[in-house]
Amino acid sequence: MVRLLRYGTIFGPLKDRWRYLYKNDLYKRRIEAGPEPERFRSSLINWNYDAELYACTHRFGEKMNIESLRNAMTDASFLNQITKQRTEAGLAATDQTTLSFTHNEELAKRGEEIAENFLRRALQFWYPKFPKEGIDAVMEFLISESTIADISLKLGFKTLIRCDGPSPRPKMLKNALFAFIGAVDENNDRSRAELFVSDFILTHLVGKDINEIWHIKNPMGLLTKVLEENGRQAPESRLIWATGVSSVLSTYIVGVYSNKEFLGKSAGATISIAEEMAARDALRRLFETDEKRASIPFDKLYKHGLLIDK
Amino acid sequence: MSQFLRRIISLPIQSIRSFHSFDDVTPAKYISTHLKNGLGSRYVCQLQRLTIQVCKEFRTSYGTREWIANDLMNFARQHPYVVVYVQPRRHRAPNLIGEYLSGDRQWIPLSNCDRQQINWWVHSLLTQQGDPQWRLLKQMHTDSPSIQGIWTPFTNKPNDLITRTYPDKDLIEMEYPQMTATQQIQELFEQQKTNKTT
Amino acid sequence: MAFNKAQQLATFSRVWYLFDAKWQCPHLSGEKIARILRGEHKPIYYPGESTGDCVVAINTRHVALRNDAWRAEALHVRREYAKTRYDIPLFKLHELDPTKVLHLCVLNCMPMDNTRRYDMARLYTFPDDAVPAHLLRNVCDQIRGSRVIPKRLDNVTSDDIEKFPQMFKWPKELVLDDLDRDKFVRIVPPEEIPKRQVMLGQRAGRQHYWFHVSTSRHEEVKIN
Repeated sequence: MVRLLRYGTIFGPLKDRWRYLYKNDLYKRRIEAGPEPERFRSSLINWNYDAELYACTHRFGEKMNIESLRNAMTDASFLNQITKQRTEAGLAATDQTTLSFTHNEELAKRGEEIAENFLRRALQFWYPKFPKEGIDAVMEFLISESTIADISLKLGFKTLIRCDGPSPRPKMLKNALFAFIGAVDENNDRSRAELFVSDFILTHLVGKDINEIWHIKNPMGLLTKVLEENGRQAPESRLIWATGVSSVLSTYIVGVYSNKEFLGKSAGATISIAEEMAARDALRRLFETDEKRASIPFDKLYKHGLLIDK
Repeated sequence: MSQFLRRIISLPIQSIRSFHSFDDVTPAKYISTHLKNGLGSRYVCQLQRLTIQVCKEFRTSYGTREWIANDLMNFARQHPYVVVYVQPRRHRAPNLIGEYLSGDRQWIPLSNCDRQQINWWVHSLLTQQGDPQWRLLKQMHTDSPSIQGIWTPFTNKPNDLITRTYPDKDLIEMEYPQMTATQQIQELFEQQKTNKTT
Repeated sequence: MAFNKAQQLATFSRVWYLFDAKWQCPHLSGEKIARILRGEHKPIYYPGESTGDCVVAINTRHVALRNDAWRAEALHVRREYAKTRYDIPLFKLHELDPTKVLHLCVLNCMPMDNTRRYDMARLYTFPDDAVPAHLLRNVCDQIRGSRVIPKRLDNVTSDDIEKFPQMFKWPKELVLDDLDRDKFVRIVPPEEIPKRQVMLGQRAGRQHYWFHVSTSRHEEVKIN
């Protein structure tokens, strides 16, 4: 059917005075009513939770029992809500034991342990010279609630989680992802769960510099400390290049040397910034985490002996 | 007016099948994937659920009905990670709605499409990553553009330039000048001298 | 500051060049300078980007034009109204503004696009070697000239002249000691310089210059 009436002209549906007023009133009422409230995805007609769970097991190529996945996707708040509803309806506490599923707190703990353990081993394996504090900082970034919640959101757990609100909070998203890892460990073996961690959590490091995730406050001090431990002389910084000194776009390039041996160099808008960045550059060269270093081979981590040593 | 709105709120175009003038302002971005899909040991299909809205009577959904009758079971068997809902609606146009892992949705009207075209659109939704139709600024992207180190104006520059004071007399003249007549005469004279002594 | 920002700063930093225009052909050096101002000497050059460097050109008063160009070539100025266009010969232009010749030669080598004026703004020209100290501090490299600087006879020491190989001997009556300028040349006092003749009326515009230039300031002295 072709619509011949032209909207927005006097020949369109607003031609009549009464129709114009009517539409205007409708518009005002819609504005007054405010935005559409957020709804559960399950409240729509095209929703089959069992089918969704079945698809979820196949999506990641894991063979899982549907019931354990259902437990992994059930948040504590959902259970609380149900018990609350039942007490309000007048059911006694003894009748509430008939619930066939539990919440995912324990699975989440199990999954978090697996993830932490594996991530630490993987980072230490691929960056052996990177100090422990740095690896702690990277771990903190990877395990943090915002990162894990983001991953969980992008893996489509948002609609699968059963909780008390239409959109799960980051804490729930995080629990769901870790519980999924725990469920994989429960149903398959440990290596499968670790593979999941390396595929979806460790890849979050791609495109990010781990030297920047670990923010060093006093790079020059750390550099002297590291050099002392290795039995080398204290670092000296030298100006290599300077251009546009009195202009707005000044550039200094400063190099750091120890006993006339090159450690690192960097550019900066002022000498102090350039010196600080040169110290950082020297540090990342010492730790073998600079840009010349190959990125983590995610698909081959297992062949490199990370799993076999278990 | 729509141009102006597009400029302020950069809305992507609704559906690939709906008409879109490329004279309009189209939001653009660099190429990217969600969660670096495929970088690990597995690829995750981003299409989460597929809803086919179809009418049992109208001619407009003839091809859709045919596809459901012949190809749907096969499709569902091959792609168990996609949840397919078929939603019969009386006397309305057939639609294809894909919902993706990242929460985006794609809507494609299927009116008057034949079976092959339906198959094409379904696989189009299946192989997308689901974010609405953006114009790509570039077809390629890399996080590590150079292993050798990125060029700066100071690479391959002699290092003694920083120690000089400008204007410097050594740097005024040509690097490899031609020999002048005066120099040639002087050289000839030197040669003659050496010849005489020998 | 992050590492990639430091890298960005280093790659796109504007390098300051010095150029000594003494005895250099402004046309040839204009090509060189224009390339640097536009950034065409860099591998990261791309027409839409402004990747040009800054140039400080000194000693522009002492540029050496080719052939007879000081006298024969001129800046053609077209003014708005009829019969008011005139030429300024380059030597006169040089008197008025000693940086103008080099400036125009560089401008001539720039393509006619809209980044032209922004690129030219990065050129600093000075008539002599007196340069503000803050500009000279910016400089970190120097552009080499395209011409060999000739050695003038009055700069050569007498030892060198004597040592220089003589190909044949001049007859004695033909030799004049022309290094002794005062013997042949007299500085003309200002009273004797002919007055400037200003042309008036219609003939002042079209075929003639708008000013009269006195060419001879020296007078030959007869030798007895």
